[in-house]
Amino acid sequence: MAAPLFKLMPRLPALREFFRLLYLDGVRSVGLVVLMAAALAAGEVRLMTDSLGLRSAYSVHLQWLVSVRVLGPLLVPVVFIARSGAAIAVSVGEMAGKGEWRGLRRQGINPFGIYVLPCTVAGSLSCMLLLCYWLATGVIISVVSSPNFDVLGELDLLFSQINGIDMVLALLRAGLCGAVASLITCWWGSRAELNDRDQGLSLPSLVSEGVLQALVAVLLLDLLSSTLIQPITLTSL
Amino acid sequence: MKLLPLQQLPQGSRWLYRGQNLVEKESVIDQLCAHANAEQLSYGLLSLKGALVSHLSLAENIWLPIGWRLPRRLGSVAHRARELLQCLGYNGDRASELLQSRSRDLTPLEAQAGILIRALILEPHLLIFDADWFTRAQQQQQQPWQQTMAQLNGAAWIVVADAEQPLPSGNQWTSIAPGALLER
Repeated sequence: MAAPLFKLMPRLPALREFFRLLYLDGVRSVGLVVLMAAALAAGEVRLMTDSLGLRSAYSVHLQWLVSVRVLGPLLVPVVFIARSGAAIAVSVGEMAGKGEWRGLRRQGINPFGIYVLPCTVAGSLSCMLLLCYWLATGVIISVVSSPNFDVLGELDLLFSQINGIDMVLALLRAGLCGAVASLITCWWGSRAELNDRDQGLSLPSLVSEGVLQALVAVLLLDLLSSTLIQPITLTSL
Repeated sequence: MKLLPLQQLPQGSRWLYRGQNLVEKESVIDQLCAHANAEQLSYGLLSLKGALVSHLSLAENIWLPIGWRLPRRLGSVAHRARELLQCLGYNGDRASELLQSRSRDLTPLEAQAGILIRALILEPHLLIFDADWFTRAQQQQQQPWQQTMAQLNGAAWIVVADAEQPLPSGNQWTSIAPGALLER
């Protein structure tokens, strides 16, 4: 599996594109993800302690489970699509529309290796990174916003109950969703190449279609993956 | 007339294919490049549309088709490209600046110089021209361009034009019949 990827990827422009996208999607999106995770974590903990009357430590643990099993792997790819999906589709669409993809193929170079593969791998890793920010923010905010502010006690209880399988599965789900979203937006952008054959495909409509389909795909993928992995997570409780 | 396999085209021969319209012209260039790739032939493509990837530097664009196939370092290709840019009349600093510029920031003439240099570095057996290459005839009459283009005289040339494009002057062209490229 790694050998064909290695043959496609180790080209200098592809590597540079990979790191550029990883920086744009995985590092510069921190603020948005942290803000969303903080707002949700604070709201959840307040709801559980005030309205449902749960103990603080139990609320923090429950917030962690909700984040790692439901909200994190679902909302992180949604944020990724909202922030980067259109940018990816426009970038690919401009290249394809100006005939650059055709020019690459004419020189015997696969545009997939130059842009799509780096973009897909960067999208996948970005979603994994964003999920880590999301989970870390959720833990910090839920501990801080719980009524009985006992940081060490609550963290000690939380870490004693954290399940490694949950983390791995959540990272895999987020990574898969990121890769699929990148591939879909790239594919819709690449259809701009048909413009010069009078197919009547304008870049803005391709971009919006790509973003919409990426969102639908992520929702369906999340539904499928959560259904498939439910038996694993339930037995690990 | 049927076209010979591309590898067997005589050195220095000049061929012309005139398509009915733009779509046919583009399709024929695609086919020629695909055949040349399939035959693992060393070939250069001199076309203006989409020839350079806009978000890569000129040096990377020149290096890309070479480095994609052969273990050639970007630095060595860029060094040779700089020498050739100087032959085209760009002084040392300007040549270095051009090589570092993204291709979307280049003027059409600078981009054309980059495409020409890429073809020269490939040392091609065959050159495939889109006829739009010859639209800047006035610039190409200048001595540095003439001298640099002369380095490609040994290769076989195939020019692909559509029905309305003027033919490049100064060569004896052998016409390729429509459909000949498909009958290999």
